[in-house]
Amino acid sequence: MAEFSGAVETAYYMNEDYTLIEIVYKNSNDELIKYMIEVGDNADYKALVAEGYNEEKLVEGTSEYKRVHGRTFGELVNTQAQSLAEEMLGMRFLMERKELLDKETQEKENQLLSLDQDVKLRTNKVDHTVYDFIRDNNESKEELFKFKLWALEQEIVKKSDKSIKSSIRKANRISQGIAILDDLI
Amino acid sequence: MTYQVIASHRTGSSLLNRYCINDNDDFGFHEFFLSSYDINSNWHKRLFLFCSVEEKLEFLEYYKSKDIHFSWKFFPAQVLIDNPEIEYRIIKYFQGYKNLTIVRDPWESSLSLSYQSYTEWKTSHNYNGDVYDVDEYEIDLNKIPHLVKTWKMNRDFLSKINIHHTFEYKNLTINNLKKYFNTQFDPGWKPMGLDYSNKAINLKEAKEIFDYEMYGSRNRDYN
Repeated sequence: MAEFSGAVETAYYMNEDYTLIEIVYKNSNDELIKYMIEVGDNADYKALVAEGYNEEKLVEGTSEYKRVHGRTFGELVNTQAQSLAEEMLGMRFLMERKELLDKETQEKENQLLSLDQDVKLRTNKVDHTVYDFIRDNNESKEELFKFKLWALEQEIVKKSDKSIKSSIRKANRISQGIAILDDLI
Repeated sequence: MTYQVIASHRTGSSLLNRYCINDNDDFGFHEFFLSSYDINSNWHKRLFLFCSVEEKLEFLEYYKSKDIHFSWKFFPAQVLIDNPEIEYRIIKYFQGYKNLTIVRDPWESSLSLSYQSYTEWKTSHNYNGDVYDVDEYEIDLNKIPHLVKTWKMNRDFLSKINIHHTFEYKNLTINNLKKYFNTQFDPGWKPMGLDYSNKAINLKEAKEIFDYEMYGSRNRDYN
């Protein structure tokens, strides 16, 4: 009598050669125990056959074992696949996020570079808008008149004598008026 | 101190004003309250942004307060007829300036004005000898009361102003102006040289209405 005699829950072949059998039985503590034996002329195998596990029943047990474990494995595979997929999705999200951040970083860098270039331009090149304007409007009646009004309101001109004010009023060019102001400084 | 011209239309005021501006180092305006100095004008649109008589007056007052002075020409009735409330400010503004005016027979002025109105101001002054001339013209009789009214308004305003000098129209020649302003400046303007009386086809009727409006005559046939 074998240790599993009278308590076998199932048994099945363990390899493709059908030379190993795994027996699942309950011990006295009602625990499921797995016990492996060899097919052949031995006491364990004879005890298993005595429990009704002939070749046909072992094949059925093997099929059931594979089916159950195949499902479990499939579930495991699916779980792992899902986990992997989620991980991959997360990875993709992270990759996309990284790509976006990289793009934003590049844009910021370009912006900073542009600002830097502007600053360099302003630093390295004189802003001559005012002088361009004077050159282009030096004899414009309207701009000349505006200049004269501005000049005549300057404290340094107000304090000057009548001839200076008169020369500013008579000026034919803005640059001429500036020259008069320059003499007062 | 700066010269100003306060006058009525067709009295030679533009020529006198031209000398005043010249005397002020070309720092001045013509009829400053004309629409040509408004914001929508093509003439000075890059310079002035005036939208009202009030704003123009504020401009003048501001620069006077800064001891910056312009010579310009003022036709009182043209402004005061619609803005009587600013008269006291304008009177105050002209204080301290050398205010000049011109006397001319108002009938002659009204004939000249009627001619300009008839010819749509094609040549308001003889700048270069090219004067728009017509053989005859009709005086718009409906405008005569208004002409007289404005002349009287101008006269009343002038009575409130300290006048530095009054020119006789007939004496307002280039030579005399050169002497008065002590200058060799000559803008080259000439008298119009038109006989307004002989060209008017309704002179007698116009004169009757004019006299009635101006002097209150009760001798009019249609009265």
